[in-house]
Amino acid sequence: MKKILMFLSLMAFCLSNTTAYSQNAHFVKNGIIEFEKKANMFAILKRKIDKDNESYYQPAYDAYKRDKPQFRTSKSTLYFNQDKSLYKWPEEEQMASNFGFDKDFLVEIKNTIATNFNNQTSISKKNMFEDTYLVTDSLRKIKWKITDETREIAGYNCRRANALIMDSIYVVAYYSNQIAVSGGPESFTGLPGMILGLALPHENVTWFATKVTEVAVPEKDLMPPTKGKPTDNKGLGEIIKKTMKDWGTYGRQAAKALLL
Amino acid sequence: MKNLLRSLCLLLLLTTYAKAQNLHQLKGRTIDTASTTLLNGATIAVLNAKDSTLVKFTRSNENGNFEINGIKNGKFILLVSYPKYADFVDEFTLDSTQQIKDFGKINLVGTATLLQDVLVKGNRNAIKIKGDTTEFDPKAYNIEPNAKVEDLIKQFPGIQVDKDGKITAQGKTVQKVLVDGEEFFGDDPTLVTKNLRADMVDKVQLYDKTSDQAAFTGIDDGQKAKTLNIKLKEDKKNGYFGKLEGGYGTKDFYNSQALFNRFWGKKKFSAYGILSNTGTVGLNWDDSRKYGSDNNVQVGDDGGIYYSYSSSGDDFEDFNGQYGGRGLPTARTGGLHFDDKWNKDNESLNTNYKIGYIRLKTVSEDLSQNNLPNGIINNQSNQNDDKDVLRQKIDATYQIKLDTTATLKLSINGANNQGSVLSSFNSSSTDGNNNPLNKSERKLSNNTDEQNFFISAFLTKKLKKNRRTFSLNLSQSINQNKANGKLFAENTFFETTGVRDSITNQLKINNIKNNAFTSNATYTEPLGKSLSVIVNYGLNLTDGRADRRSFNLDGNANYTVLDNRFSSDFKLNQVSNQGGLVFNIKKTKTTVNFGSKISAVNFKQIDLLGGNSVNRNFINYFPQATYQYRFSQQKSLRLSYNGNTSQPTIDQLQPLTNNNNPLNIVVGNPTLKPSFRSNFNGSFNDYKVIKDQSLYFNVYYSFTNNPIVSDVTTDTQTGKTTSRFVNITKAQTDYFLYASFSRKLLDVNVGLNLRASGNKGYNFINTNLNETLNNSFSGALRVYKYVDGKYNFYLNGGPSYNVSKASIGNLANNNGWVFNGGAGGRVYLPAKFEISTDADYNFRGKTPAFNQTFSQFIWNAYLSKKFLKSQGLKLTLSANDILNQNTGFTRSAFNGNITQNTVNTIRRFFMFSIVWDFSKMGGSTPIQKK
Repeated sequence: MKKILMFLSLMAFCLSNTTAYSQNAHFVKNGIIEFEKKANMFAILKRKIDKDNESYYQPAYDAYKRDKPQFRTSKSTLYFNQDKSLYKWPEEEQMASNFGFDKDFLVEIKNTIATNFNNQTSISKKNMFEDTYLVTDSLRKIKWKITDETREIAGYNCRRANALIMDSIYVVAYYSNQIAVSGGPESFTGLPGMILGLALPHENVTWFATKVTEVAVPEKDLMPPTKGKPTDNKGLGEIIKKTMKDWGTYGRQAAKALLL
Repeated sequence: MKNLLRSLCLLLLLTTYAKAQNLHQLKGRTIDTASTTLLNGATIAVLNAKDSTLVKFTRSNENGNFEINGIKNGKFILLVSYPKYADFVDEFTLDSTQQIKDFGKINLVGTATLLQDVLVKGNRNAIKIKGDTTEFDPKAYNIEPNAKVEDLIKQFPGIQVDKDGKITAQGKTVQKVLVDGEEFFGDDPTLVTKNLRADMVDKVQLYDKTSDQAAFTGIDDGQKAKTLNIKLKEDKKNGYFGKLEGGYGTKDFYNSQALFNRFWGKKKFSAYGILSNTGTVGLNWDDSRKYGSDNNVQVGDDGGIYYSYSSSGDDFEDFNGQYGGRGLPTARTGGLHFDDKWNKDNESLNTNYKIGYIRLKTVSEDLSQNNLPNGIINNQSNQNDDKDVLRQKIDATYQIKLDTTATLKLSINGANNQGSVLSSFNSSSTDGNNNPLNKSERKLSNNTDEQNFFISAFLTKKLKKNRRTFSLNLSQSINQNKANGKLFAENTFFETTGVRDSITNQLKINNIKNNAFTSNATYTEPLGKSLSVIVNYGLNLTDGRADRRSFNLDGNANYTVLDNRFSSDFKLNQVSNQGGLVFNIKKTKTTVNFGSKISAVNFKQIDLLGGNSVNRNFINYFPQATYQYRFSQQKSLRLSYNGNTSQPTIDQLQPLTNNNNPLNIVVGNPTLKPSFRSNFNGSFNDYKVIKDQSLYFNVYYSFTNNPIVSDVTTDTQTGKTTSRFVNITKAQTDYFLYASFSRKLLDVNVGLNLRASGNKGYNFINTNLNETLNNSFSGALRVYKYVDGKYNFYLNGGPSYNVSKASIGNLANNNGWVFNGGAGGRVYLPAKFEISTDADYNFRGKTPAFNQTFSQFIWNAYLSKKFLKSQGLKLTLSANDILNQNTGFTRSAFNGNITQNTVNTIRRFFMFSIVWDFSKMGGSTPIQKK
């Protein structure tokens, strides 16, 4: 009897061992993700045309559509481990003005965001014209709606989740449970896996991962930004309100992007 | 018993406590059924059953165990997922009866309850399809007014849409749905509703899209994704809008306009007409965008909107449709416009026809002081002009996008100007002691007929390598001007020997032709990441003939006797080869460019009557260098240098002799050499957006080596002048300094600017070298506030001081103070009333040369009220120059001459006008200006 038990447990051990090798998935817990941000300029600029400016915006829009590409793309990177992540943009190659027909805050903005998953806080460096703000606040609570839609992004199988943030912005996110960190690009977190695809369909902007590299990330690559005037989301909101109160549509768009 | 009671109480307490909290713990173990392996790292998520929102999630530990705490009462879905396993889904309810919910072993297998059956969802827009590029035209199908895109697609042959909205075509799944080329994610109707309606769809395309990677690398990896592209209709723009304006005022002033614009699809037709004697000669900026054409717009890489504006360069056409010249204009102008786009907007045509008749009456008076080495000459003159011009212009532009990298633009335009002018002129000159020198009376009548024709082709091409571009511009112009006029002049000279009269009575027939061909090819080659080189070459050819003949009266009172002295027939040929090489370095904060253009010019002018010819060759240099540094987005420094050779003009080398003004004779100098001018420019700007503060500096300095200066000899006996141009070895200089600062103070924008400018120049007066120094210093303060839809106002003004010094004839100068100021504002009153006013003040102090001050205050105002729901009807009562002070006054100093001029202008009048903006545009709100 004893022998049989021994044999069974040995069997179980062997089985569990072999199956562990063949069945247990490998979960990514640290690494670097490259994101490509894509903005549909044709749709974004078209929204800016109203009856007050159409006498000069409409011809400019037609010229833009004739001469320029539909999408503007830019690359950003997310460094992460199980405790922290740092989302950042490469040094700008060309310093351009903030103002212009084809300038849109949501397209141009380049925030650096350090997230601490343990205490659910983030430190974000946000540039607003000549000023830089260092926004420290708790992570945004997003009421994600899980769906059964899946797609593969950068080799990872992802599940779609939808949400509504800031009362009006519709968000679509694709997360992969194969990356065991609840992070994502920009300030989007809180899903049971890493967000590899993100879309703001009505703002015509998407972020999709192009490459995921599993690698140990040194602490120095996860250091939160330090430069900027310290504030929190509420404080930043007040500064924006004060600065852009007479800016009309442009101001509202800028506020939306800065608070995202 | 006691113990029992105690424990009961405790139990009660515990349950009430639990009830109050209603918090539950979930636990379980994830396991692979087939192998009974414990799965660690499985994602366990708790969703609300009512809307599938995520409540909490965790991952199973090494033993496959998981625990989730703090879940309230309610209905939930447990979603367990693990890579490469089917989802495990279980609906469960938590209530007070059970504090811990143990799921026990959760078996993950290939088959499990499908999540989609339990998730709460609306009609999703996810779509599946198969096939090669196929286009479906929605017009062929029945669509209900508010039908969704799926309802439309369902009707297409070979395509099925299942109950979830998933589409399959030809047995394959569509992986991506695009709307106008952008991925369509579909809205979750429980969060947002912005349905894509079927009637918004123009066409639906079904095709195999190469993977993004292949599109990026250009290497086809064979992976194709079925893609459905839904092309939406362009905005429904069918309709019309227009404007009718009529105004009548005191002194018979009137201003009326009718504008109409109709568009259907991509076609646009518009027409306008203007009758006015208040200075309106064309459409204003806004209206010309709406009713005219605008294919000359480009959006630059910096996001700026650039308009290329072409003008015939006369007073009758400015960008805002306002007459900018002297005198009183009466205008009758009109135009037609048509444009169309087709072939997916890749081709466009834009045509315009304009006709304008303008009658101009000018009355002017000049006072001038001519400083000479041995005294001064004072001039006084009066001139009356009556001018009639009829202009017609037709143009057409065709633009085609040859492919994604090349664009070709063809333009053609023709114009005809017919004019007649009648001038009468009288002048008199006196010397410093008020002794008369000369007196002149002239009458000139002239009829002109001018024809212009212009054709051009412009090709731009982006080449395969990034930043490598090529462009070619070719154009040909033909101008012909015929004039036929009479000159009658009577000049009286008060010479020491007595009074001498001279009478000229001539017929003048001019025939001038000019053909020009210009070309320029530009090639940009990237040399590394930040360096690029721009090479250009151009060949320009000019070929012209100017035949001017003067005839005197014969015995039969007919103008048949050719006056050789005042007749000329020149033929001009000019060939210019221009090449350039410019290097450009663009880095994050620094932009540097440097290089030069060089042109070799040969020109030959043959005097067909006199037999003389001038044949000259010039090499002209145009070096340039710019350095720009951007400290930040709104703060930058720019330094630049450019130099240019200016060759003498043909009129300086070999002018035509004319006697239109017998008191001023111009002589040529065929030995003139080119001069070279060097310009240095520096600017710094810093704009702080949040503070609304701006700082700007600009410094400019230039010097001209070997300048071409005027050499004027005045006969002090008669006041007659003979002028020509000569080179001198001294350098002429110019400078300009400007600084401005503005910021918000007490919610009002306040700005200050300071300016200094001046020049040092030379000229010859009766063979003596005269050195002139002019300096002007000014400062101004401005204040403005703008509150959208309520009111706005501005106020600006400041003094300036002018110093001018001439080394010859320092008898009198024109040094003195000037003050300029302006103010204005607009208030939007209740009941759609609006009141607006503006004023300009100009003061000039006494100067040693002009012993009187001058001041004028031009004040305008209007009151208007809007009517109708659309605010499309507006009544306005306006007053122009309320104080009746506009005298058209100017005063200037140049080369030892000081001149003061007054000209007749539109002065005080009051006008009542009605403006009606109307529109009908596919039900949308009417277009109207604020």
